[in-house]
Amino acid sequence: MSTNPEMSSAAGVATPGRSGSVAPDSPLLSISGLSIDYLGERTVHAVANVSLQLGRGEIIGLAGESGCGKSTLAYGINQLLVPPAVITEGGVTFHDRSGDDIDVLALEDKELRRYRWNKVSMVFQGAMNSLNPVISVRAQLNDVFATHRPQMSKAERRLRSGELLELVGVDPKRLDSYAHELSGGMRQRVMIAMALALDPELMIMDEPTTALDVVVQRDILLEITRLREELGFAVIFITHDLPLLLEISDRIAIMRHGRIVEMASAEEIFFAAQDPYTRQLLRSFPSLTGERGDFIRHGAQLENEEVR
Amino acid sequence: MSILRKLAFYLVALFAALTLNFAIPRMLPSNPVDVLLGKLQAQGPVTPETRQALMLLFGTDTSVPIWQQYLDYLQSLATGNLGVSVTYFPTPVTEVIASALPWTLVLVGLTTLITFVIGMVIGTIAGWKRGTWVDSLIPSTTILASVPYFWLAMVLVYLLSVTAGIFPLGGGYDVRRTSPELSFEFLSSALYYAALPALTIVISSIGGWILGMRNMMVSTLSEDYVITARAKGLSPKRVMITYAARNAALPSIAGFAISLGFVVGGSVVMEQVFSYPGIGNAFLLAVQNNDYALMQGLFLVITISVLGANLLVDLLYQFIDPRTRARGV
Amino acid sequence: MIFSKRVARLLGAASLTAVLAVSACTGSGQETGDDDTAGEGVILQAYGGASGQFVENYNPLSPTVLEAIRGMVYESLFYFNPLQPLSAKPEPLLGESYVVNEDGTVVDVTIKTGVTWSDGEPFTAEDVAFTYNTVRDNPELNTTGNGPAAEVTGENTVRLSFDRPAFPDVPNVLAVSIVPEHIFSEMENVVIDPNLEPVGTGPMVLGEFTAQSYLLEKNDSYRNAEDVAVPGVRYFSLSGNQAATDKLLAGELDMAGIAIPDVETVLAPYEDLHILTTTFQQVVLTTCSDEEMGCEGPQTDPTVRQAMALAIDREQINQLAYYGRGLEISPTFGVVGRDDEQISDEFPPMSMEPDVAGAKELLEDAGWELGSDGVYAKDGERLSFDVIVTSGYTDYISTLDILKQQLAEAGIEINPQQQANAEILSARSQGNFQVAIDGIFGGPTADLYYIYNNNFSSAQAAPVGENGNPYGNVSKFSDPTVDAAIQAAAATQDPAEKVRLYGEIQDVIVPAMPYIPLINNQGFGTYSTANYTGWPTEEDPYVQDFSIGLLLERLEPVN
Repeated sequence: MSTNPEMSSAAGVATPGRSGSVAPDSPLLSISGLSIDYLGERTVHAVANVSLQLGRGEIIGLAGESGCGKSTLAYGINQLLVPPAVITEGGVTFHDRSGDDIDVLALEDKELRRYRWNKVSMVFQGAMNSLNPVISVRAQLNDVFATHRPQMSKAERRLRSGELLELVGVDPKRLDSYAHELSGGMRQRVMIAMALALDPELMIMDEPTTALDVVVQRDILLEITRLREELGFAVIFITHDLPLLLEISDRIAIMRHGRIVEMASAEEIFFAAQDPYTRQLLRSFPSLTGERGDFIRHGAQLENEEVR
Repeated sequence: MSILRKLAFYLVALFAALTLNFAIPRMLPSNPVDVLLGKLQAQGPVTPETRQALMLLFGTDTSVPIWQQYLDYLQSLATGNLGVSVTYFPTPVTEVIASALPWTLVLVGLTTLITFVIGMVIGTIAGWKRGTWVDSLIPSTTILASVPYFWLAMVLVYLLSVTAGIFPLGGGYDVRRTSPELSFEFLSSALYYAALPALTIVISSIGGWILGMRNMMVSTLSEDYVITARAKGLSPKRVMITYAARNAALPSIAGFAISLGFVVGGSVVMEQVFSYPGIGNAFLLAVQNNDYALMQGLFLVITISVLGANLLVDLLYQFIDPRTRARGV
Repeated sequence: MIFSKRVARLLGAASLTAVLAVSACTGSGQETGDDDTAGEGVILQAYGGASGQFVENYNPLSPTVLEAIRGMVYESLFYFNPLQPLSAKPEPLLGESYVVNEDGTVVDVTIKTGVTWSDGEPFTAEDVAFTYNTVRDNPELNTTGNGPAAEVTGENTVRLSFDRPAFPDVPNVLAVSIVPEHIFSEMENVVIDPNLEPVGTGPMVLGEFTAQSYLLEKNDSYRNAEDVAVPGVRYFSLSGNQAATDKLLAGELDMAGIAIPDVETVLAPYEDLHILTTTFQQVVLTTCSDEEMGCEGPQTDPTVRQAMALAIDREQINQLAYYGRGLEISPTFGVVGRDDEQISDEFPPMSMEPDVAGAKELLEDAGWELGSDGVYAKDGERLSFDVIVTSGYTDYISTLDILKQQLAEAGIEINPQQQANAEILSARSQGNFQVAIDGIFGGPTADLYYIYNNNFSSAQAAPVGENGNPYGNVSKFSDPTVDAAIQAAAATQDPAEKVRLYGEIQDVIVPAMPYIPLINNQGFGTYSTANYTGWPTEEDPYVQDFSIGLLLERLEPVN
């Protein structure tokens, strides 16, 4: 395993200081007071009054245990929620490259669809299941172009599709493959390629590496960080794997029961977590680097030795 | 390689079916001659000589050893000779089947197809719009599906034919005004007579397709690739059809092909209720009259149609579901 | 076409539609039109019990020929009418007269002259000889097993030579439909050829055919064409008894063979509709009677069978299961009235009233003791057995239900078991039953020979377990005296001698009683006098079968 502490600190340096509550200089996305309920016999407040600002090109990590509302929050940003989930209050504003501010929650139908993927693309958790099993990779890429770039010619699409796969390190011949013909890592690379197709300003990654084995996970993470540096999109990275976030995130938000309990730079979270829950979270993971930190679980040392 | 193996499998299955086809009618009690003699009995005592003559006539001489009968049977099958029907003596079985098959194929086949298509469309929409009024129609269709078919059919006959007089009571066409030919009159009459039976089949079987498709849609809609498709900003139609329905339909398509196989064999009750001149009617008569040759012919047609439908599913699946596509072929 | 209840029931069996298909083919009314000639009648509408689709088969030698093709299109030499007493002469059709030699091996037939086939060819003695030789040469058609060789002996005479004495076979042999040599000799296989363009001598020729009905039209070259006022006969296939009954009551059928329960009450409001008794179905309990043939159970004891016969309340069965239409039954199985000359004076008809005390006495004298369960027993064997009946035969089933109660009073237990037709046939064929409910039918003439030879001859019985004729001697009764008398009766045409021999048979079979007589059920045909008069009646039953061409000569149009 080649990953090193340098990378983590390199990412962390981007926003020094305790900047969790401080708005970035050039905001891309502003979430203010967002609340999402799951309606039912007992209404569940999945997201409660969450406010967040994401800077252009920034990687924000969203961490918390399963069911804490982090995915719901991500879906809310894209209006992907389906009943019984409803946004009860708050707002989401997307500050477009062009300078326009888009009130995301007010978008409907065509405008909403135009916003999706164009501005914000997503990579989902199930590396295995994000690709439609019955149509080819090419067809799924074509769907994106046909919807958002109808003026593109067939040849242009083919060219672009090939470029995208090359960009994520997949042989363009794989365009004609189906999901079941690809390995887990390749599928996720294809998904990332697809997410890059329209050159979006924000990419939401919902546990993109969870289903992958550790080696592939590492490669994908490297790929993501590399691409972000090349292309400059912002990332909301959702995972329960806090140590992973520590390595790649500029800032990290810890969520619990629908609320953000702590938001700070990676270093601050790592070295000086304020909230007891954050500390508990840190303790419950083995260290990726296996060297530092009080969160190292008993025996983790040994396991990490074996991994290497 | 794999296609060869598949074909070999179907050949073995066909052979097993043919052998069963030979054996089963012979396990039935009695024989065609005795059943026919029951009808002649009232005209005078039935002598052993009469019985012997008829056994010769119908080729049911049981003194021929069974293995010889089996070999003769296989040989006649190979030459396309299915023998002579006792029920419709002296019409060859092939002719009986040829005259009955189109009725069943067209009515039940088309109706099954229409039912399937409508069921899938409604199921897709109901699943897509889960919780709306479309979805709330589902329970009523499943209630209809759980009603015994013959009861439903008879109630509809009573309401629509006997009471309202909208549809004829039964039969394949108006025997007084037309006869089977390629004329507008005959075709429109046949269509009119087929309407009510078709309606009963649609009503009684559509619920299953709708429910199956709707439930598959609901579970498919929570699949990541559907959410991805929505996140991609694709049009709802595109998401519903290419991403959700195409995947959700896979189990139903298999079921559909199987039910196509049973089109030929599964219409006995309908044809009885509506005195419809199809395969089911012929089948019932064949059983009542211990008509081995006709039974075997009908079994053969049913066997081939079921196997054919299965083969069709196998082949079709390779198109609709790339995961089953054999590699390297 | 025979208008028996059983036939109609068999042919129209098991239609689920019966209840609802109330008027499947009604609504179009009577056919009138171009076929009608001034001064002549309308087309006769007929139903003979057919359901399902008609299949074109106009070959009168085939057992599955369409109804009325034999009789109306093709004719036989003579017509033997079982409704007439034994002494009656057959009606000459294509024949003029016949003589049987002393030992019954040669029949010399003189045929009518001047008859033509419907295609204009003359009918000749060669046609007759060809017909009989064809039957003889094809075992599939030789249903008597005693088909004669035929040779033309003169311009109008044919000699039929039998391999063995053939007195009892003569009515069947002379009833064979005569076919034209110039057409049938061209057939590749006469056995299965459907003879799609029938050419006959009878009063009708084929008109049109559909799978649901076919029309016979008047043959203008028929020798008695001037006597035939009927322009045509249309035969229908209907969905079942109910549809046929509705059609009949709607006045849309002129003649029909339909099993109508309680027919007299049903037809009472319709003054045009009448019935004619055409067959006698002598309802019996057939017992597997002979232990030596492998039968098991208390019914193998003749005393038990006699006791049962005594304990039965026939009047109750008649009223409840046969709507009072049943007739007294003779233990000799001669039809009371018609066959009185053949019935021994010693054997009066079975009493319609039960004699339970007499039955019990009979059993107790034979050593049976009444058990605490109300059923007799002897040597540990209870007087109890199964009675098989075909499911769907409602008159039999209700008869058994009534019998169960009646016999219980005499300490006899029966357990009715409904089975499918094929299973019943198999049980009867193999002898795997104790008692079955059944009908004994007469022969081609009123001669009791046919019943005795068929039901009592040991030659017709197979041991239990062997595949026997399910319509033969199912009781497996065997007695040398009876066998000898049957053989002797087959070799004589002297009525007095026959009666003497039948007396010998009756002396044995009445006490043995392998078939327990229940009731004589009359099968009937229905006709309407709305369009035609002149139908056969009880007083003048000139035909028993409505498909015999003679009928058409006698019908007169109303108006």
